Amino acid sequence: MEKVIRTEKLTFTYSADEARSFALKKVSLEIEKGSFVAVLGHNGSGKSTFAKHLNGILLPSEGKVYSYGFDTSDPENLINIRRNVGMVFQNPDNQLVATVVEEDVAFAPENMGVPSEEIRKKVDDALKTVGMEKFVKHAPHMLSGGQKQRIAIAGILAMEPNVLVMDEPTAMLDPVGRKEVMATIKRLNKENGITVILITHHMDEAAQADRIVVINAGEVTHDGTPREVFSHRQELLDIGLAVPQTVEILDELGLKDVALTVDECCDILEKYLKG
Amino acid sequence: MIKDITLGQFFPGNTYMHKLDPRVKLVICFAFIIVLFVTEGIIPYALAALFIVLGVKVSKTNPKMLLKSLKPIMFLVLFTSILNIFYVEGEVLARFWIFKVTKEGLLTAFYMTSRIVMLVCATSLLMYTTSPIALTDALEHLLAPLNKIKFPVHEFSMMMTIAMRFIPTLIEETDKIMAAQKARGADFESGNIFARAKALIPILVPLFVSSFRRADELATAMECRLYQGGTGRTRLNVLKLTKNDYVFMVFCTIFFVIMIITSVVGI
Amino acid sequence: MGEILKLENVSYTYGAGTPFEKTAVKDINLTFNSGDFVAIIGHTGSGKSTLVQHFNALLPPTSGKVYINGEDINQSPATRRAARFACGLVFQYPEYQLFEETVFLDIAYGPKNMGLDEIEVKRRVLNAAEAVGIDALTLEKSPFDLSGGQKRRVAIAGIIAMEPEILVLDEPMAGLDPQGREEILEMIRNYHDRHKTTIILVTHSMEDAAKMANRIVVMCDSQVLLDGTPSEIFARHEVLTKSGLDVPQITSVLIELKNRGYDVDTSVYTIEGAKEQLMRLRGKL
Repeated sequence: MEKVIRTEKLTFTYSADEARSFALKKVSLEIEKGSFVAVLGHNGSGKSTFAKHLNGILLPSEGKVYSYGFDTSDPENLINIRRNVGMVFQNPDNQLVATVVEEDVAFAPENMGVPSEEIRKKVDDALKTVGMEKFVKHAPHMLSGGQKQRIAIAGILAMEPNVLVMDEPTAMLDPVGRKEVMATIKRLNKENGITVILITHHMDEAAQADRIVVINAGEVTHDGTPREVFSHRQELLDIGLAVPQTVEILDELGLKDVALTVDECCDILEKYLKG
Repeated sequence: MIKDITLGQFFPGNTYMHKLDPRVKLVICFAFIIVLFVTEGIIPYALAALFIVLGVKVSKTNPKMLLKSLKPIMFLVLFTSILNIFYVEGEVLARFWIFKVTKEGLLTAFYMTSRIVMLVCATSLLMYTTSPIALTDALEHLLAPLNKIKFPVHEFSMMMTIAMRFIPTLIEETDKIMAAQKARGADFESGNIFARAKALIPILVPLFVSSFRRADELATAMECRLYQGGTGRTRLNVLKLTKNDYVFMVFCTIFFVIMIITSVVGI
Repeated sequence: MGEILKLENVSYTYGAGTPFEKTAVKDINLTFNSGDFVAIIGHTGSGKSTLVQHFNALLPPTSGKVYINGEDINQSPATRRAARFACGLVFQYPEYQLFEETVFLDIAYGPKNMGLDEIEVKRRVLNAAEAVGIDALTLEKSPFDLSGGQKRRVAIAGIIAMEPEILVLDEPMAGLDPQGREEILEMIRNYHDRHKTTIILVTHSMEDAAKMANRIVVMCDSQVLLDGTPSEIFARHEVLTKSGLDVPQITSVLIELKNRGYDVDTSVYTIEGAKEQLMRLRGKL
């Protein structure tokens, strides 16, 4: 499988003088093309710092980051990296530039110097992909949080990136908005083949990924499928995380299985009840 | 809710006036104001009034909205009119106590008032029929020659766009912070002017802090969307003059010329 | 336990007479008893945030009356101001309201506005800081140098320091990670246990509501949809799902088991409750 992101002993310290305050410590990871990876950690674990390295917003203090094959430390590469590795942030309000939805989605292609007719097509396609095509002429500040975040995603999709890095895109949304955004993310991954890296502290969101990377105090502590990672319930609790309730109840009953969905959990419980 | 107030008072529509190129509207509005100030006389101003009425009809603007936009300047208009009526020297029409009303005074007051009222009407019509973003675009185009003298035209219009984008957000935020401080017993309504100014600190500090945070995040987000300034940038909606725009320009030019002629001839 | 807060036919309409007119709360009748721990849940736009701003007279009802200890709070500017102090309201993302040079001064803002003397202000600040777990060292720091979770605590302390009879918290856990949520919940629970203050928690998490409150009020479309104990509310899970609210995952599991023909009680909302039930059921089968 092709690796779209590769970090080699990525180390980052916020203040140069205080050598001890590592935000990231020797993180070496490879992310495969087309995968859906959740990066899980509590606030201040370094997960957002990690995300910001993936398209060169932050540069490693030590080590290397290769995004889509380009070394992020070379300023010449930045445009190519940002075109291929799109980034969506937590607060939808602070990433929308224009007063009309279509103008906002057009922002990146405009910056790329794409001709008008092509921009139109990219804007329409991107809005359709996130299911917001009815809002072309709306003012962003009149939309709900979930809708705004989908516009922000469309604004990135208009660059046609191969990788989408989402830095806690649901943290400021209500349950309805979170569901909207998660459904959009999953569709982008499954239907459009976009590699998704989702930074989150919501277990139920991480459970939907193909792979979970857990970061604590700047280091990777777990890396595997949701099933593998959630089987370490106590270790996750120790670093301030939790597991989904479907996992918790089985563990409480002393069962070894890990269930990611309600249905799966019930199947296992049925067996348990029948002895 | 305060955030529902649209900025720039734009009323979306699909009339002839709405569809005109914003550059044309901006230039015509500007020209109209100049003509207003170089002409004088009953006929020219009657024509100007006709021009406004036509504008209102064509754009299907509610005349009440125009009156509403005149409200804030009514005091200014009245004040200058009164000054003019009493202080301009000339043929005395009436006299009481130490005041005298002159014919010239009355005329100047009338012209002054007409000018200000029509100026406000014209600019309001422009605002009502043109979206803020279209106006910014038009401004960017019209100011483009200033690039030659190193005036950062693109940056200027980008700033305007961002300002327009964030004003509703910041109004909403101000609302929230005010409510939160009120919940802690803040009092913005009583006390002298100093006490009131001091009472604003708990609102202004959080507002500035959050604005800086927003600015920082927005800058990063813009970089992630490949923003590198104005060079090499294309636009989704390109401004293009249509036949309608030319017709409108010719019509207005003729109208303005007639206004100037009637003024010069002195009818 | 006596009645402390009472709403009588309260309605509120935003922008009456404009094209943006919107009724945010409609004909609400609610009574809260002293010492209660009530959760108000509802999805965004259900009117719950508008509703709580009536509790301390931040919004005057378009029609209807609000009483604290039997007194109409919207009689005069003075009664409105008194209501602010009697019913402390912590807004969503309260850390964005911090403004003072030090944490101490920020927490002291409310008590100072109450016109208390310096000694009393100090006592209240120290008590409030202790209640939210802010130590003496942090009190001298600038609130802007703290972590997100600490800022939130300071902001909550700013309200607690007014020592209100009723403490209303609007989504106090929004945006926090699991541990942060747990800490804030724990803090609120401890505060309630110690001071017996009436607490009203606004949330869209059924799970948190169930864990904390002895009574849940469900808001939907500007009105009160359900009102009862957690078990009573969870027993009506189909109404909850219809109004856009999620039941805890564990409740979903029990509902599914019931659908599959097992005799389980679906009003259970905690892991312990479910565990106990499942173990009992296994013994029977």
